Amino acid sequence: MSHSPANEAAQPIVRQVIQPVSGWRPLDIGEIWRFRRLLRVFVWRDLKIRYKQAVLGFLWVVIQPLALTLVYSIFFGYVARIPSEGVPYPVFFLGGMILWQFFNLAVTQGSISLVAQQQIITKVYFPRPLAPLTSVVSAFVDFLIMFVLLIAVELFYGIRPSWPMLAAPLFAMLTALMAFAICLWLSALDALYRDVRYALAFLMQVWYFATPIIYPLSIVPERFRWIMTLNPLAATIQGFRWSMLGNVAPPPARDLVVAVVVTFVLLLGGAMFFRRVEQRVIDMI
Amino acid sequence: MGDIVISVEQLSKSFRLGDMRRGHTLADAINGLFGPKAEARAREEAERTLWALRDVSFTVRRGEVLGIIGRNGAGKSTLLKILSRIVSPTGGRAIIEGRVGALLEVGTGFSGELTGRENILLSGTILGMSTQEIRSKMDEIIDFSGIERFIDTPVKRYSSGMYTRLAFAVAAYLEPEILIVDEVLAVGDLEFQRKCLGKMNAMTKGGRTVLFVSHNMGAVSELCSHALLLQRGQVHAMGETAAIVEEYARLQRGSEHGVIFDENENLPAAISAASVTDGKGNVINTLDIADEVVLNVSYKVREPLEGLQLSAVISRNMNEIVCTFDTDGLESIPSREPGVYRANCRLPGMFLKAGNYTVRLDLGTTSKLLMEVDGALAFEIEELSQNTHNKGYRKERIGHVISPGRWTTERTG
Repeated sequence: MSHSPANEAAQPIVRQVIQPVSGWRPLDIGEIWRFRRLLRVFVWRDLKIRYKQAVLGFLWVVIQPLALTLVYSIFFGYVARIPSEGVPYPVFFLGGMILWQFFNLAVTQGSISLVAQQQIITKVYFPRPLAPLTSVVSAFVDFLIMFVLLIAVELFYGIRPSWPMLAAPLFAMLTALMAFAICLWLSALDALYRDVRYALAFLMQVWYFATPIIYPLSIVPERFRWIMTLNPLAATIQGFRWSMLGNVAPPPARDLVVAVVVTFVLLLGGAMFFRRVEQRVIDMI
Repeated sequence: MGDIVISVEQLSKSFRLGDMRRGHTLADAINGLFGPKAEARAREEAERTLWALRDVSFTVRRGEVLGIIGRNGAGKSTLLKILSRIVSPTGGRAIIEGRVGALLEVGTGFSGELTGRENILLSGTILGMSTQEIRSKMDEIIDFSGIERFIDTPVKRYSSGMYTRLAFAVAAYLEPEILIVDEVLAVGDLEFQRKCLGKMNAMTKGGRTVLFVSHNMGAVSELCSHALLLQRGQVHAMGETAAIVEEYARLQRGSEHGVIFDENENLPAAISAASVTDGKGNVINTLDIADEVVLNVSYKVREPLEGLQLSAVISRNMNEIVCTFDTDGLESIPSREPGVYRANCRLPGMFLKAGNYTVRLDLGTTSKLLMEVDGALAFEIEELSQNTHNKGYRKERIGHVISPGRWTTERTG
């Protein structure tokens, strides 16, 4: 359906054909684009609800990573002396953590988004992938703030941004796509089987430790490296650190290629899976 | 004018009943995989398929107000949900020319945490309007809704009346080419209902099309030029409103011997028949305000059940009002051995006010709802023997039952 801007005079008559949907269909990106204004309103609503009841509101986006960095720096940087690729541990940790934080928030919110939005989904029409997409975009807004924080902390430690920083958006983009792909899978699955939400917290915890965030990729023993190759987030975070922190080694090119391929396969599969079950889900919730 | 804006061709929708009852955890899905053999499962599936709509075809012209009527469960809501694209059909198709604004049940999909004003923005955006457009209509919408004082309060704190007021104002003022309104006028006071009917009338004068679902035959007759009568998911009749409303009334009277339900072997207990009678046992569906109203329900128990309960939820003009249990007053809920049971619920005369009543029957144990029949019975109470025009319980006043409370007034100074 084409919900074109409703300028009465200029508005063309929009014709919708409603018919059964079945089989495997890809995501209708054109339709999502036509609903971009709604995405903006959804994101705005998400942010508003997330921080409305907190006195410090948006400040939490900054306080949380700072507090985490402090704690991790004491225990892992100072006490356990985990190496940090030649940059001060707090910067090292923050540089990986903000990307993880973005991923984590997007996935945990996005996975329950279909069920959480059922009030609205059962009353009005909009392209349903907008629900998980909203979670990813609103988590990205938080990420942008943390990104500024990272730069401030870097400057504090005397690290000046350099050319590789131009590549940082690419790694953030890759993370966003990965999060969206997983949200498509999990939000549909969660609506069918609520088990998803219970398993997710545990899964994310394991994933967190299986990703080089509190430790560098370089201390992973050679025989366990394949795990890092399979974990698309590992190369992405390493790449992000490389672009942001100056001294850090870039991720192995092979790992990066695998990450991109895995992401796109997940995204394609997720989109088709989502579209396949969305109607069943709506009949159910 | 006169061209066709909605064309529905053999639209069908089936639901798999199994989907709703089980399959909410992975364990259920796994059980399903290794459960009954595939063949038996397919048979089971066919039995569990419920056709909410079957081969429904009709057309609506620009500027027309089409009333859609039928008993609960006739498929009205499903039809509207398909036309507003919330659910997709199983078969057939519908072609719609223009933007659709839907007002289904209560609320157009408001977000509880947002304020009234913010929800107007949200709804408008869903309709495809730009922020400027919405802003330009904001004042009119707020004004029409009549809830200025609460417009910056989160809508989760709204009463259902306020919610509906806002929802209607949004749906009407955002000016979709096609407005779908589902039974919302039941909530809200008379004055607001008038306002809504007036607004819908004005919209159609401006060439907009309205699909209007209601149980209120008065409103349908007043507003709609044409009506569509759905019966068990199929088009029973369509045409001039007066004739269709008459046909609907005839169908309703057709259930004068009460309702008999299909046997359902899958349930351990099921309602088999229900009827409304007066105090003398005459099956009837229009009663006088002073008559005793008796709800008779027969049900069959197939296996021994602990704590079987039957309840009747009585609604007046679609508002839920009274809930009675057949076990009311008993110390413990009895267990029932297999057999056929008949239960009566007697409501004294001068208790229910004049109006249209529907009864939902629920049969279940303390832990599980076995059967729920929405709109199982319908009856009407009229002010035949009483002149109520100076009484507080006359039909038009607020409140649904005649209270035994009495005023006394004495002069104290």
